[in-house]
Amino acid sequence: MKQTSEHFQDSARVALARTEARERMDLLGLFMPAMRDAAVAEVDFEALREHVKRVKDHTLDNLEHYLRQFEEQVVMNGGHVHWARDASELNATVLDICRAAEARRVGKGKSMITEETGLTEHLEKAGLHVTETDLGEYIVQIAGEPPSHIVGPAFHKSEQEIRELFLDRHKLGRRQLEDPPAMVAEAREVLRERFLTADVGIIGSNALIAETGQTLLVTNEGNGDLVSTLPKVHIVCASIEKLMPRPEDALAQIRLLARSAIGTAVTAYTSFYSGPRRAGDLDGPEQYHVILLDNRRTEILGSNYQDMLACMRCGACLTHCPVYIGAGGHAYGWVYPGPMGSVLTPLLTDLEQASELPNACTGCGRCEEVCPAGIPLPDLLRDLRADETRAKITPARWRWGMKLHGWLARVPSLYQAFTGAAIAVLSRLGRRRGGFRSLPLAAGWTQVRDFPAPQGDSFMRQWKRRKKEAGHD
Amino acid sequence: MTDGDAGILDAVRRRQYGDADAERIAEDLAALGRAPITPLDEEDMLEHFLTRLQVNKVDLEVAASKPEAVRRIARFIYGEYNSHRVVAGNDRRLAALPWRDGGVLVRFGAAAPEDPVSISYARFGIAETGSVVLYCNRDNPAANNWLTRDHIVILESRDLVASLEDAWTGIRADSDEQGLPRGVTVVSGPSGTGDIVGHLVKGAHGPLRLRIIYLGHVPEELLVRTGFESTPL
Amino acid sequence: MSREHKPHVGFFVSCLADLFRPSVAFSAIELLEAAGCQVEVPETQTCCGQPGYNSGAVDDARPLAHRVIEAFAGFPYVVVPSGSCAGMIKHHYPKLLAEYPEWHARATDLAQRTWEITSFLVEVMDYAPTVSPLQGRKVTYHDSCAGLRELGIKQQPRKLLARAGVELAEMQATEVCCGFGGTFCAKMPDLSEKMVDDKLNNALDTGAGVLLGGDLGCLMNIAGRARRRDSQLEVRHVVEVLADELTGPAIGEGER
Repeated sequence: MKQTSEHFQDSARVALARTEARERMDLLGLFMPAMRDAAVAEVDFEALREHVKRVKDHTLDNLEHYLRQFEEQVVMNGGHVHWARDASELNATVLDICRAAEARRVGKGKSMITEETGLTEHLEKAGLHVTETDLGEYIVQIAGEPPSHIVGPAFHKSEQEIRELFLDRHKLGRRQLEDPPAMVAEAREVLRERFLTADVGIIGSNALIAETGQTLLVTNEGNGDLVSTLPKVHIVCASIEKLMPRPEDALAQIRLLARSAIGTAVTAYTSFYSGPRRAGDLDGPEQYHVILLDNRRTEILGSNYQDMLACMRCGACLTHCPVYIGAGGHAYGWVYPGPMGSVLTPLLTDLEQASELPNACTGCGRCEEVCPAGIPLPDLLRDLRADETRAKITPARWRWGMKLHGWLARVPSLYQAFTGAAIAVLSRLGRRRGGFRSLPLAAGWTQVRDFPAPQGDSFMRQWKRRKKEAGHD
Repeated sequence: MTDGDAGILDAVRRRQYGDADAERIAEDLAALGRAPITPLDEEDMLEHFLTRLQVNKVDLEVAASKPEAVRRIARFIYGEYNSHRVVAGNDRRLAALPWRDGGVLVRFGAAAPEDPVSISYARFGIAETGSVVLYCNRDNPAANNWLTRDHIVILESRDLVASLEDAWTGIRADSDEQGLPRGVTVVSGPSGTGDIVGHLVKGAHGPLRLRIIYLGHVPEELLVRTGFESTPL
Repeated sequence: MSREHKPHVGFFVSCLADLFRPSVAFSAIELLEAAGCQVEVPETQTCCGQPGYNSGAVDDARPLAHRVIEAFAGFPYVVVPSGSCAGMIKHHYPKLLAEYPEWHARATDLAQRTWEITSFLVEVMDYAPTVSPLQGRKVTYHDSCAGLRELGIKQQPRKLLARAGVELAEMQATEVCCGFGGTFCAKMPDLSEKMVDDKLNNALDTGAGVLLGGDLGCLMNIAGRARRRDSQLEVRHVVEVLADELTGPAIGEGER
């Protein structure tokens, strides 16, 4: 996928200017947290996430063991395991499998990993006909757009936009499509034919179970199950950190995932798949492939960013982040938006190109508060900003500004003399009006708000004066 | 089969914190225990299950006996489709039901695209989430779970368990005998989507409706309290 | 109470109070003394290092943490009129100094002695302020993020205000960030504008004429935006209200 993270602020400005879309995002930022809060209140959230975090830490600390166990089990279940170091290896492996099966049509379920590798484009270039079958993914596919949210890819589109899209792309004659149920019904008919004629089904996974070699998939629509069942070849694309030791561990995680993602205790379908059809089965794929993607996860493993590998892609940090709600998903310019994306994008792509993202954070901590994996997102974003400073990616005026401030504040007498004098001047200039409309060196602040004037002398000056006077009494 | 790990496992070993052997890893894992959830009491299980079914927008009928279950299914499909035909997997429990006496014509096999109604026999019911556990195997082809408009699932009262983990304990016991089925799926409602402006619509790709026939006894008062109607035959 | 039994408090002014709103520091000191504390203001204090720490200049922040640790050595209580500075000391110093065992131990010790002012007044001193002149006016409260999420400050200021007879008209999304975020507001003004507008609109929707909070960064942001929009909303720090220090102009307001 082509990355545009360097234009974060420009894209955010465009999003902010679109009133209707902005109002929809505001509603999202209101309702999703309310639903999530209600669902989470049913369980002991803190205790559950603590448990899941301990299991995940254990898994990552022993990842080699669990990956080997998983591979062994998949093979025993009659499946194939493929390893991909990066996006191009994953794409090439999938294409090889499709070609060997003489496939022409591919049905895809929702998979962030294949968004990461740009698989659809790769397969289409090779002449395959690829259909995204998750309704949201399907909408953005026919609109020619990337997803804007990792759980609801088409959250940014209005009802009317989707109606026009369907009327235009589905050649079904005159019709009204008066409401969302009518549109869903139409998509059901259109996509049904794709399910039934797909030669290959491709899907992601919410967890890979080491003990059993199963891949876990949660969906509400059932599209993932249909592409896992009807085509003769079933391919699961997952990254290596998705391992969980036992089915029970994945279930513990599911309890948090569904509640955090969509505010329900479970999704409609929670499915564990473990291979091609067995002897006597009346349906199911003839071939079952699992492709394990690294794509720089091994660099994150064992680093100060390792906690990020526990992310279960629920999207709670997105809808709870006021910056995401304002900027919209597309502004982040790659696969993963919001706080989790602001951590992952620089780590999986390029710190310099994605340097705006770790700064798109007020440190408000709401993401960490709701993260079901207990990832300290604000800390990780701060660490990335420190990496930017070290790599001199941070603009020089900011770096030198902080250096100057740090140097000055280290020497109290100097600091107090300097700030005391500056504040006295500023106060004299602004006190009567109460604030400044514009101020040199504070353009970012005064662009949108007045700069409140200081009350008068600094506290330290006044305090010392009072003490002196008291001493003379 | 596997085509080699391309050095990824080496990279993982170099980076990961742990260096324990398999035995030690198993001990550490066992020490982590189970997820901390409040267990449901036996007597609360049914109420919790029914409440959850309601939340999950699942339709429910209670049948005191197998013949009654068949008669209820017959009434439903005739009422909805003016038909007596359904498709069901090769499950022995399904085969043993008195279909003909109840007026239902069953085709045993995998659902085809034109089949409107399929019937499955649940392996477990889960009170915690209001779900049924279905296997994808010769007894219950996966197509029967997802291809039809109406999915009817028979659940015996003795197969109702409290939690997701309890269900998995039973699945483990089954797989010790028969090996794991290709698919194990926890079904918690009809297919649905919120992908168009967050508007929740049922019947995205899979069934529009999920109908559970609960084989057992539910006190009338409990049924009403959980928002279901009792529907005499 | 004899002098010996008065809790000995080292007062950390915080730079925004020092430079922009000394009345916050004076009010806080007045409250602490009224509550029965003996207050001292170490004169070697400057800044807690937050600006550098949060914008990635950790190497510039560390010496400032050393300074604060030294300036406040020996005080049984260190009280701060700002959730974010208190959070910096309590929550972030130990992380910032994690790799320096000696400093880390001192940071952890300081963290245990450090309190945000409203939580100190409620939890340690169980203080009851006098009835406020704001009684009867419609007042709303903004929960600053650092205080709320790093220190669990939510009920403490509300308790104090209730004791002072101030009734709050709670706004929608009071726990959502106002868009200040330190350097964020200057680096990303457009997004910051959207957030502070949301905050301001929610506050105004309650019909309140006064907005209170516990962090000057947020309050200057909200007040600055209110002035720019010609809104009459009066923005003040909660300790000013509790100490009846209401004669001077509110934040960003001109002289009357």
